[in-house]
Amino acid sequence: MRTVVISEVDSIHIPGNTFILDLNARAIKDCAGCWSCWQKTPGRCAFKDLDDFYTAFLQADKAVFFIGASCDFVSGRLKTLFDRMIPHYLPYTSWKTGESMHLPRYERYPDVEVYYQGAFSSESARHLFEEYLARVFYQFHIKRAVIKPLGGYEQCEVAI
Amino acid sequence: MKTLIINGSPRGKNGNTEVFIRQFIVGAGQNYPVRYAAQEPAKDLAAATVQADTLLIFMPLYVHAMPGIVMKLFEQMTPAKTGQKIGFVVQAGFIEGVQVRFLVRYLNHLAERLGYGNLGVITKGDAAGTSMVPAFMTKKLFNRLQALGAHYSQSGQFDKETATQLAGMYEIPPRQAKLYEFLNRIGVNHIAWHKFWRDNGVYEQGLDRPFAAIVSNTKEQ
Repeated sequence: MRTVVISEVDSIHIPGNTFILDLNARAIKDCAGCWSCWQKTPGRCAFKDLDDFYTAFLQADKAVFFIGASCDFVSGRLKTLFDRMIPHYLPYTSWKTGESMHLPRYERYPDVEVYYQGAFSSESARHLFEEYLARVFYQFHIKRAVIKPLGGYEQCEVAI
Repeated sequence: MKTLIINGSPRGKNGNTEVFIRQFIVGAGQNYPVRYAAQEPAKDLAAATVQADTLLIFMPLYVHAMPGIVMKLFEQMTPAKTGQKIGFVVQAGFIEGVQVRFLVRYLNHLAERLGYGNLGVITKGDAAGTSMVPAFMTKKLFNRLQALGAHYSQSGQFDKETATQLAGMYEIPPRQAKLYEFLNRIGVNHIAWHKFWRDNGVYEQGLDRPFAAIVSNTKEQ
């Protein structure tokens, strides 16, 4: 089982041999909207700062996100990471499901587990947060996505 | 009444969002100041929002939500002063309004959370080529954006009828989706992308998988 971890929660202990994208320690360049990844260098971002992560992510069986809520949504830096995942999908649009979807570029993507922490101003704000994440991973052709409060991780002691 | 327009596009002055803003301003007949999320630190831009009576934030849809740089701006914004208002204009590549639903919910929630009077969220799908296509294809869109601007400069509100026209269809009717998928199968929808690839000398690489575990049809660079 190859696992990659994306974390903005410092208190999580992660085994030493796991690839970790530490969003607290690493500043990721914001998507420039240049479309190089679709038009000029297909599959490759014009910025190279995430190439090691891209390699780890696309070769992993599972990607585990430890994230915080920010202003009742995903943080700006996690949103930037989502924006920077677009190279892994084709510019082609499919309507097979009855709605617009980008087609996968790769044959397979890792399963995803998201464990989040942080306070929400209301229960409906928390629902929006979870529904948004579920939609992102659906658009990203993730076959199995689990989205839970961080407490769920600690209780279940999910094996990384 | 001071209005500040924020362009939330990572492409700044070179994207479709800027075209939307320029048409809105033409219609308004007012030279509203525009600042760019792509050009200055979120903290500085957030500080500038305090000075405006009404804040109009234009942005593209990125992965079902705001671009990362816009969320970074939201993270720096402080609660509104009494009477401050906010409005949003979102332009999306996907054609159906339903794709913007999470962002619409969040922006309305954000306005309430920060205590702004909320003008609402204008959405427009099928906008990916706005800055590239010939003028006759954007005429209707530009007229509507100008109408939105004109109504705003007179009333300080977004016109509901114009908003409905801009929003267009919420979901794709099933028969229409089937037709599009048929056009996909015969390759019609891929023509534009093939042209980009040919023009950029990467026609053979369009479907490459540069980060795949086993690289089959790609030369590693």
